Amino acid sequence: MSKLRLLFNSIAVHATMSPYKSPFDIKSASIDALALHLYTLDLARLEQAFSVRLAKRAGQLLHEPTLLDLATLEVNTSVDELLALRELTARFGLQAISIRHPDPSLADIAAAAGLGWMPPVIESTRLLAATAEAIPDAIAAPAPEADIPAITGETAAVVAATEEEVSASTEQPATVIEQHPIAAAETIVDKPALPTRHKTLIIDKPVRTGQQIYAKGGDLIVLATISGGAEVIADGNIHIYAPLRGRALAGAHGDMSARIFVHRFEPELISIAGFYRTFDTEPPVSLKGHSVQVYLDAERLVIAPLT
Amino acid sequence: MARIIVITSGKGGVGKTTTSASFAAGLALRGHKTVVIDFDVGLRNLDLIMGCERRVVYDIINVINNESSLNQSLIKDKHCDNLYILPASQTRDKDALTLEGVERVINELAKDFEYIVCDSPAGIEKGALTALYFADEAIVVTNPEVASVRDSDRILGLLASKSRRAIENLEPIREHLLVTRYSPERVEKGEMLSVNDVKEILRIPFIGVVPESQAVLQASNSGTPVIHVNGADASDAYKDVVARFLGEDRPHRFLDVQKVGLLKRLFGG
Repeated sequence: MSKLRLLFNSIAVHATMSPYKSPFDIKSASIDALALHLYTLDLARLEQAFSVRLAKRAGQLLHEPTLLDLATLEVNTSVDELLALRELTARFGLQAISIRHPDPSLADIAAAAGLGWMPPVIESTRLLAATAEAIPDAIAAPAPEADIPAITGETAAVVAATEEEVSASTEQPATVIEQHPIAAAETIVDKPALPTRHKTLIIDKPVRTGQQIYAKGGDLIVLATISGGAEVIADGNIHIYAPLRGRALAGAHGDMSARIFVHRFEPELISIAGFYRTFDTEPPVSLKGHSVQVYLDAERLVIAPLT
Repeated sequence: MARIIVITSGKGGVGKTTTSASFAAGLALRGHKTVVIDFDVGLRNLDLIMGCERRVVYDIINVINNESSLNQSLIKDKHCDNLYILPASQTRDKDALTLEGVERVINELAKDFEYIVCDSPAGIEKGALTALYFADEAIVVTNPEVASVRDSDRILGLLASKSRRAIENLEPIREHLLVTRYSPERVEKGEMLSVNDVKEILRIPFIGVVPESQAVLQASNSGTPVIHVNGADASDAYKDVVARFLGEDRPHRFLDVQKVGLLKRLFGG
């Protein structure tokens, strides 16, 4: 079972009744509910399983609103079966309010059994929780932390240079070669449209010239040298714990909060959310070959040393 | 089970065929039954370098197309026992070289030979990819200059992604860095990358350095792998490389500028 946020229509009843005021209003409500994922409709088996696992919690589960998730089953059910299911779950403290299944024709049967119907949402609740937490970070423009050295004379020169050179092209990776398996995309059907997040891609072998790595929807960590002529791209941040001699493009789909962290900074090109800089002129001595981080400060690329 | 070694580089003209010839001969001189295969269909050179160009009757394409047997096509080397050459075709197309055909040939060779040395053509196209596909080990021949280093880096990427071991997720190919045409004098003057520079960029195990040598050109013109030219610096270098490949610990030579003694300067050397 898992906790879900549901958008729910409820009826609000006004306390004071005037003859001209409507006796009711419908507003949306968000409630916490449980989802009971059922992998069988064999009620005898379910009852046995409930009595093993749920009996102990009988005191805690005080008729919590529960979604009956039948999405994994081929459901050929009847009103009576759903009524029986409702009654069974109620005995164990779960108040069934709705079923969840991709087949919309079940809605009528469910209604006859006093249950709502909803289609499955293809997401994992952990994903939902994770993205819900991630959104505030993405929206808030990340202010450079206090312990990053203030832009010194030399790095100021870098910033000034980038002001001239910066180009706001929306860089899309050209031919993308995904060399490592990436977690399958999981999309969220309801609004609000939350971005899909993938596991961080970790590369521990050298990225040779001519190779291209793309970490779709997440961060990229590279533990070996990136040769000149090689390209590493991520929708999120890029962490390179080795020399960067090639190209690194973070925030590839426009995330301006993305950063690039490099252990040894000797790149050909860096880019964040399409704002890029090449290094035809060498970076300052204090940065070249050193550990740096690269981030955007109001559409300006900043390269700051990492102590 | 035979060990398959590809001699590759990406860049052309860095010393692949020179190395294939001397490396294969070096293994044979140490008593190992070795065959060296030329994968450069249409631009074959291995037979010239080995001095057997006038004894070529059948080639690898003939064998693949079942027009001849392997026994009919293998040429016994005249300089040492234990060494055989399978030449490339000069007249046929590269397309005649198929992976299935090459696999058959290699499987058959593996029954009799301890080492199968594959001389790769330059580039990253079909010929080079076919040559590296079945490799267990790779000697990446690199000149100490930027273009060669970059092309070697490229070929390393391909070894790690387009070889059979990579595709079938087996233990990866063992890579060895061989720096050829090295001139310590030019390195000292700052005209040439040092071995350490090359090692730093490519970061694969270093098997040795072969110095720039007059002997190489003379040897190839006379159809003798340079390893047979006793006393030549390149010959000693290749012998060291073979020894290290076979597990011996040989200190690296030819890395430093040779201090020329007074007598040598007076009387030449």
